Amino acid sequence: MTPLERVHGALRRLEAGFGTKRRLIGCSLLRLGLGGTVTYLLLSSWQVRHYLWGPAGVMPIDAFGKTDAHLGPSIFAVHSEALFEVMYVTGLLVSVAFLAGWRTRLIAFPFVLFTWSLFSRNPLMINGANMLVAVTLLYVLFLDSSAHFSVDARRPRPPGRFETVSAWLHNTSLLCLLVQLCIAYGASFLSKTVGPSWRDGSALATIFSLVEYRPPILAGLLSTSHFISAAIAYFTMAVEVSYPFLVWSRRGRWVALAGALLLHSGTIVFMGLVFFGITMIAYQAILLSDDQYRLLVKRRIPSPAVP
Amino acid sequence: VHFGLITLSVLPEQAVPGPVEKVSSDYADPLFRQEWSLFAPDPIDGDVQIFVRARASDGATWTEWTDIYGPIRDEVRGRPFSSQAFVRVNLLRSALAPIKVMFFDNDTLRERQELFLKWQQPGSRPAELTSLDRTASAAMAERFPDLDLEAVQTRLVLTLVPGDRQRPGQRQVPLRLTLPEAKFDPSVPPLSGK
Repeated sequence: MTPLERVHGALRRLEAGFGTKRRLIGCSLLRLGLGGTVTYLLLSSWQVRHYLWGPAGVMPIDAFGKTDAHLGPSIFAVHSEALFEVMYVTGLLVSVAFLAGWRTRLIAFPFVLFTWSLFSRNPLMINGANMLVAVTLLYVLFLDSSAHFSVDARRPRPPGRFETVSAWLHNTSLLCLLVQLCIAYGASFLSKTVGPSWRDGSALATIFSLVEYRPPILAGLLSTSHFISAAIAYFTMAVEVSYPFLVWSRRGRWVALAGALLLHSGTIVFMGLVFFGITMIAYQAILLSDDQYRLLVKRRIPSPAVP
Repeated sequence: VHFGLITLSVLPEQAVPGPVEKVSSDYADPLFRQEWSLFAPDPIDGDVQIFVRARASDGATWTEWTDIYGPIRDEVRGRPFSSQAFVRVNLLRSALAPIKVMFFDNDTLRERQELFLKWQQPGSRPAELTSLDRTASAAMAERFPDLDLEAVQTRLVLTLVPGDRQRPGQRQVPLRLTLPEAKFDPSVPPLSGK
């Protein structure tokens, strides 16, 4: 094979790989996760919305944009309480529509806008999970996330004239999401290697002996046993460091998935980081390909209807 | 290139040369700004309490210090889906930032005094302090609806857990940070969700 043929072959494979949308089931699950967590954030904070994001709240409108924590513009940055109310309700409706997968390609734009605005209106509200959502919003915009489990999936998809463009955008976004996840886990690992308590394994005992994160069960054991603390600390670091390598292999993905699920369910159960854990788990949905999901549930998930 | 720059922006500070760090963080900011040092390099090894008090408009009478954070943290532990869950996120982050910058990032007394003076100027107050002041106003207004208040004050306390940071036999002294008092603002919406 001449070098030219080889390049040609590689390009053909690239075209074939990017020309059809990948991991539609995982992307739809991610939509459920993102729509669900943003809806949950807005609904559960309903009673304190003015305090957290309102014009006279903890980040008053006069101080908005004038602090180091400032992220960027926000459509919630309004002076009028009434207008803020309208925006909040609209944001809630948009996130419910996104969750339901109703006119998803269109709704994704306001969903991204409102979600970004919510985070930038009060940057002090941003924890690790919110941050991952914030930095992946641009990719979510171009993702086809409504092929399954959605209102859109119930009606036939019109034959797209730009199907190839749309597939390339979708697959590129998917790739960006995966790389971003790898950066998150890799960077978390690296910053732990700088800390003496992660190196000697005592970090978890420290966390569990705080009132802040006291586990509901086994609190005494978890906060005093150096062995258990070290085991969890090294497990956490092993999951984080291996993640960026495992996700690129078909078999490795199962290991990465299992590790991440165990890690994040642990933070939910033992540390009470519910929102953070659920959001991180939602992102793991894009690890598996459609046939791996079908293997997992051992029953046919219908393909999107094409006329 | 995109992810290369983002990767550079999240690497530990010591690992990246200054000018490169500047380029990568300018690139990532604000749309891709991120920081992944969750519980790292070391987890905070202490529990936070946020005490607030208020001064009546007679100019002399202060209320007792009240811990406003503990009850919220305990409520969220029992009911993780309560409206207080994100109030807690906001409060914990607002309280930890000034403690960290005062006690762990600035070592000398002189640096700490300068920082404190900076905090007293209205124009250079970090968002976290504004958030705490306004929370203090909201909490005091809810607690003392009948009092005519003119000022509020916040005191942050970090009680360290026994660990490597203390030498054996050393007495456990909580770190206390009493913030400059702030004008009472009756317009802040309630944080209790009632």
